[in-house]
Amino acid sequence: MTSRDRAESGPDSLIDLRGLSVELRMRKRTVHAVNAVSLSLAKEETLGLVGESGSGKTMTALAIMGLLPAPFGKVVAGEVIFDGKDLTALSDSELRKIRGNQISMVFQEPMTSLDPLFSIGSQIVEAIRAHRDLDRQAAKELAVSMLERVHIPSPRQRFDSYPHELSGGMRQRAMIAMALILQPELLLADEPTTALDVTVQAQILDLIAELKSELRMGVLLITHNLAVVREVANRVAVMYAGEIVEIAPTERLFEDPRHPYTQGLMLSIPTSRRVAHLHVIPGRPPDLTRLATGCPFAPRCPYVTNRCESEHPRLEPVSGADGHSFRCWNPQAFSRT
Amino acid sequence: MNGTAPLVEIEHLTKVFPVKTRAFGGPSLLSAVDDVSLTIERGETLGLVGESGSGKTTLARLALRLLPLTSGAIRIGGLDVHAADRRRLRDLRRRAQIVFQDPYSSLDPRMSVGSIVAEGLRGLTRAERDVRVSELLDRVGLPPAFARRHPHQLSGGQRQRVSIARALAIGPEFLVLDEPVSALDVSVQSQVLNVLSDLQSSLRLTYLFISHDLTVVRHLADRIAVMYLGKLVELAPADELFESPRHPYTKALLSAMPMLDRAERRERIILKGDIPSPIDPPPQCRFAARCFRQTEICWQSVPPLESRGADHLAACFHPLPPGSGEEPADPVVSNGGP
Repeated sequence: MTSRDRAESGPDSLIDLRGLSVELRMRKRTVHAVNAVSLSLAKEETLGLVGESGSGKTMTALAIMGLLPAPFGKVVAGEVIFDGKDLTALSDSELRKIRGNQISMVFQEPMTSLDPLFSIGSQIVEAIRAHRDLDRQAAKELAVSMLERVHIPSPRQRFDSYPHELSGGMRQRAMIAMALILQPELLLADEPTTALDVTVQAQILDLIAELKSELRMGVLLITHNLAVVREVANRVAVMYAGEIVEIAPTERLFEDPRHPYTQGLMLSIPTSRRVAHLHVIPGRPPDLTRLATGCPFAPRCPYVTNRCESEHPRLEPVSGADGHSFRCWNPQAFSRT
Repeated sequence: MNGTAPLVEIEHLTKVFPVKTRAFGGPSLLSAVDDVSLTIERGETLGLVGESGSGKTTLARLALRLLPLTSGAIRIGGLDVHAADRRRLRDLRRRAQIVFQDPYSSLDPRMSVGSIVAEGLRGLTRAERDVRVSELLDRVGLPPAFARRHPHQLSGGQRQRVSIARALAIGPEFLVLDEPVSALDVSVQSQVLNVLSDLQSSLRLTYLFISHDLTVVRHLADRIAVMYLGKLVELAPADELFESPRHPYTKALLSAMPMLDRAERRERIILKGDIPSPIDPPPQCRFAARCFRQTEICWQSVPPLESRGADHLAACFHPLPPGSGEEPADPVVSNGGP
């Protein structure tokens, strides 16, 4: 660990990822899904984690939760420091005490995490009773008040509804209610609004923001949608090929992106000024079963040099720009034209 | 687009599905598309936006007769789609094709890309067919060698380009694009959008482009139609719709859209509740229950689609004043290569 990594975790730091690496070990090949990721998240902070499919965003979150797909997924290096403990070193039963209690997770598709056979109310009550010594009636009251808090109308009736009886937006709210019922310190939200309509997305993002300040919770928001991140995140980390290629306070990242991949992503998105052709990042993401010796973005990069192909760039801070770091040997100024 | 008849004419299109209800009495009716009229000019892209349950996908399926209609009519190139006999229907299938959202489920995994693209080609020798397949792959930016690959060997964007090549095989004039880029990552999405623009200008295609992503629709569409709960609520040229939405729902929809460009942020209108049930809708404005401008009249009759400026229609008793999109004076973001 370098001194810079240490400096990043301030007194308010809620969770620290230190050189976290995750591998998926299949029978014949090993996917290097997350590579030496270091970041920290403060209380009441929303950190956006962006990147495309396969960039390692979800694996990072699953590693924090100790929920990597068994038996393939393994944390092979690094630590996840939360509340003074390294989560990667805890046993399953110790992790279970933290999961759903101090750290909760919300997924893209609520149907996969809500059990279709039980009413949403009974599932929330179960979640409460797994961690708190409350009787059924008290747990129910707590659940109903939480359903109300996530703006589910007639919460007392909805308590007895089954997941399929709710709309997508309502199910996502029910899942958020379940995730937040024990007032976690950290919420991992993996594409929480991707499956939802835009007006419902706005409702859910507002709800997460509201509960974040109410509960003084840290939020790791995983998404591929840069516009969503710009609206809700305090800081943004961009992942590519399992590593963080750029991290900065939100406004800085959008106004002065330094990594060629971040720049390419921003130019790929249509805006109100219509152009005949959108920017295209050529090529495809690298095969993560073989890690390149150089920069993993080199084969697709417009500014590639010899050095990029042979030497792996480090995450270096931008001088004079607090909290902005990126990894690139040959950065160029960002131009939107 | 000058003087000739529109390629696609949709008149009073209505689709209701009978549904079982728990109560006693006869079946209820789910109103999926209700009295929608619009036209699409040759070479035009009409964007169709709306949220789940708005009826946009049902409308697309009706347009190609993938579903029977309840009433109304659709003509493509003068041919009445739902009155056509088998022979004319075959002719229609040559003129009009559809590309679906999910390139994973719409391509047969056992077939090679070449056979998928060539599926609709008839009466060609093997050599002619191979040449045609190469041409089609080239049009969507894929090398000829891809003909021998199978869908599982392709990325999402490549698969979607194969779906487009397949749709182009028999030389259609009209393509229905149902969420063609929604399942794709940002960088791949821009490739497919570029392919669609290029094809349109080189082949003079007409598009009905359906998407829930308003940014993407604005990029590609000449005009945009907004649907809510089976009703066409607003129809206007793309920039006009963004700069000057007249229907409160359109304004709420635009305001809910997260914006990459700070200068384009709008004051957010958070709509209360969910889209109401489309079953047995009462004769009133379907948006009234969630509207921030509703009055008594909205609950008493259905607002007609009326002209609100040049080429601009909205169905609202209390339309917003022109220019309410709060377009910034000086847009700061544009696009292009580095």
